[in-house]
Formats: sequence, C-alpha cells, structure tokens
Amino acid sequence: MITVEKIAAGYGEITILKEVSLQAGQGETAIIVGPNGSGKTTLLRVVTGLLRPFSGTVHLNGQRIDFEEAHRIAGLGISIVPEGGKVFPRLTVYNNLKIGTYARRARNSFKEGIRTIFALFPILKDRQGQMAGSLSGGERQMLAIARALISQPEVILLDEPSMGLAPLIVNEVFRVIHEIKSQGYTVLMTEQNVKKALQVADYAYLLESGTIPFHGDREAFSNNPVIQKAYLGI
Amino acid sequence: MLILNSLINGVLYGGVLAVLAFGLNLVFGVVEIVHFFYGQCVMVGLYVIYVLFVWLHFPLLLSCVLGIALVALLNLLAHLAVVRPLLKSPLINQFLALASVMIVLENACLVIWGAGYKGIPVNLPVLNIGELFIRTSNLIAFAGSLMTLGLLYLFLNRTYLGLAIHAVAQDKEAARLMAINPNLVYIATMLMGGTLAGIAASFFVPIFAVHPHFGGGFTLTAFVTVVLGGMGSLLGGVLGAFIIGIVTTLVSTLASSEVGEMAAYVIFLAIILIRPQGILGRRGGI
Repeated sequence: MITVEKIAAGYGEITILKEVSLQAGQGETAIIVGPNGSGKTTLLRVVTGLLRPFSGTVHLNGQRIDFEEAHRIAGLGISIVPEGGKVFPRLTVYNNLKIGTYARRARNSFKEGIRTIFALFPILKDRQGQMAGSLSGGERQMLAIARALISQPEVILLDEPSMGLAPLIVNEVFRVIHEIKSQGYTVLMTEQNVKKALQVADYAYLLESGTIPFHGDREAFSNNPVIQKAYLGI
Repeated sequence: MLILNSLINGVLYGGVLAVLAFGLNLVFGVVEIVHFFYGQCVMVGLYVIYVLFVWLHFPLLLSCVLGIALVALLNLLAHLAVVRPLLKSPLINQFLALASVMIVLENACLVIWGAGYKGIPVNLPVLNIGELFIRTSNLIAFAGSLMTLGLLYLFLNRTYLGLAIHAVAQDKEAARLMAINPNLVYIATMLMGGTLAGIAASFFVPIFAVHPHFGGGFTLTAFVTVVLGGMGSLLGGVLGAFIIGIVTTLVSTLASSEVGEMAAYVIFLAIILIRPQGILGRRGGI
C-alpha cells in the first residue's frame, strides 16, 4: 500500500502541489483525475523519487521513502508506466523487458515473467527482436505496461495511460489495466479520461490546482454532481 | 602487392584504433564527457608495463594485465576526483578540467621517466607469406582487438550491467526508474574505458616506444576516428577506425607517412563538412 501525506512540491519558486494526501490500499486501484497542469505528473514524480517534495511524506507499506534516491525507490517495488509509452528506443522489446527486471527482487523471476508477459501480450512476443523505438504508439504503451508488470512491483503507477492514443487502442490499454487490477496489484493511476478511469477505479481523487477538493469511492465519485458536470459531461 | 600489404597493415592498425574508439564512445555516450586524457591513459599503461617488465622483470603477460588494471584504476580515480564532481558544472569547466588531467599526466611522466623514448624490448617475428610481410605484433593486436570487441558486444547486450549501461546512455531518468543506480553505471563505464585503454597499450608494447607526449598523437587520431564514425555510436567508432587505419597506412605507403597522416584528416574534414554528425551519428544511445 502507498500513502502520500500532506505533500507540497514544485520546481524552484513555483509550487505545483500545495497539500496533497491520498493513498492506495493493498490490492486497491486508486485514480487521480483532474485538468491539465493540476499537478498529476508532479505528484508521480514525487512518489517515484525524481522530485524531492518541499514537505510531507510518502510511505510504501509503512516504510518512509520520500527522501530516498529514485533508483532505491524503484528497487523497493514502485514501478511506473510513464506518460506517453516511454521505452528505451534502441533496445529490443526483449531487452526492454529484461531491463525491467534489473531490480534485485525481480532478476530471478525473469524467465518465468517473460513467459507470463508474452501470454498476456502476444504482440510483444511477435515483436520481441524488434527495436522498441520502431513500435507503434499503442504497442509502446503495452511494452511500458508489460515492463512495469515484469518488475514484480509492490505498487504500479500509471501516468495518463490513455494519452495520445486512438480510442480503440485506449480500450485495449484499459482492458489490460482491468486485468492487472483483477490480479490483485495495487495501482495508483492518473488520468484525464475520467469516464474510462472510473471503470477500473475502486477509489478516486480529484486533483485541482494542487489540492484535493474531493475524493470518494467509485459510486460516490460518479454520482457527485460537480464531477458529473465538469468531467463526465452529464 | 605493396598495396595489398599496406591494406592488410591498415586493417590491423584499424583494429586497435577500434578498441580506443570504442572506449571513447562508451564514455561519451554514457557519462557524456569528452575524455581528453584518453591518449594519456594509454601512455600511462605503456609506462607501467615498461616499469614492471623492464625494471622489475615481471613476466610480460603479468605486466600487461597489471598495466590494464592500473589504467582502469587511474580512470576510476579521475572519475571520482575530477569528472563526477563536475558533471553538473558548465561544459567549459569540464573541458578545462579534463584537459588539465591530460597535462598533469604528461608532466608527471616527464618528471618520473624523463623526456626520452622508452622502448620495451619485445621482439616478434615478421611473417613472410609469398610477397606479403606481416608483423606478428600487428596480427596479435588485431586478433586481440577483435576478441575484445566481441566480448564487449556480448557483455553490453547480454548482461544486466551491459543493458543498464545502454539504458543510462539512452535515458538516464528512465533508467533510474528501473532501479538502476547511474553512479554505479558511470563507475563501470569509466573502468571499462580504462581497461580498453590498457588493452590498447598492451598491443602497442612491441610496436611503439613510449614517451611523455605519446598520448597527444593518439588522442587526436582517436578523436578523429570517433567523430568520423559518429560520436557516441559504438559501431560508428569501429567503422571510423578501419577507415582511418586503412587510409593512413595506404597513403603512407604510396606517398609518405606525413601525407598519410594528412590524408586521414582530410577525409575526416570532408565527412564532417558533408555530414556533421559523422557516419553513424545520432542522438542518444550508444
């Protein structure tokens, strides 16, 4: 489980997150929705250790991690699917997956892990010898997700998984996210496509201008009139 | 026949240059510094082998192995003391600092061993095949270089550390998110670079005599090779090395060694003007 408490963060003089507290419990899928510039990516950068917060804490399974180096945090089990299907363009699909198991805890399970991944993503098996940079946007996103999965994560973070993808591909991506959820992973996901995100969410947070004005479980969130009007077009 | 002989020698020379180019490209592609004192690392390697073999009478092979290890260590020390602290400084500071290490090394060798040439008395036969004359020292250097490059290729593409090196070269931030510690990768890269310089030095033992300005000539040639092939591209460096090796040797034979040197730089200038990124140059990754 991952707990974020009273995080304030930004870049130099600019404060992006004013005071953010949220959590994703064990096996829970928590989503963070909100407009562009609200701080969703900044929040994930704090959780992964790429950005030191001004104040506040982040705990992974009770262990405090906000001051750790990014590579140590990744080693502890936080795996992120970055925005835009980021992969290592000049490594093959196979090697992209292999480097996903670089963390000590995941190395021994690579052989087994790759079998599971290829079963879940047949397209990646077909293209395993291809350079990742030559894959289509949707395929790269699948590879990025597969890479997070193969790393034996404690928590999977997803940064706007639908970004820049055609609607058909978005459906595919969310089918995979649903599969991940049903396998019991703890997921923390940011998304702009509120409708799609709510379909897989157990709990939802609204992030607006660096704070969380509203949060609730899927029912409560979907039925909130403000959310409905602003984000669900109802 | 003379041309064929020359061609062969050029290829052999290119092989060793390829090892140097590989080391330079690795360091540039991963640590993103221009390794100005690389030639001096080769020079230090030769001096160490000289001391161990000629002064202390160690067996030749052991001297070479220790020489390689010491150059790798020198590189690591330079990384920890000079390179790493300056990684976030303005480029000009980095350049000047690395150039300073170059001068320090040269002058240290001048002080310790004097300005004279120190040859290492290793005599290897010359093979006579029909009308071809091939020096065994060149053959060993070439075979050794190919083996080294082959092993490096396997290491870089089949091992976790090798893949981590690729990852850091392509996208350092993404690599950190894979639990890769960039500092460890830098250290591994600098050690590898040093090892390659030491290996080149070992191959040069029966071919060159060392002196305090030995590094200078090689640094320029190595850089020309690397920029020709495309800075940061490992394959490019190897290609560039063979081009420079063959051109220099061929033209030296047909005209004179001065013209031979010149020919290589002329080709380099031509390619850089037509295609500034070099033959296989590209952004990011090795």
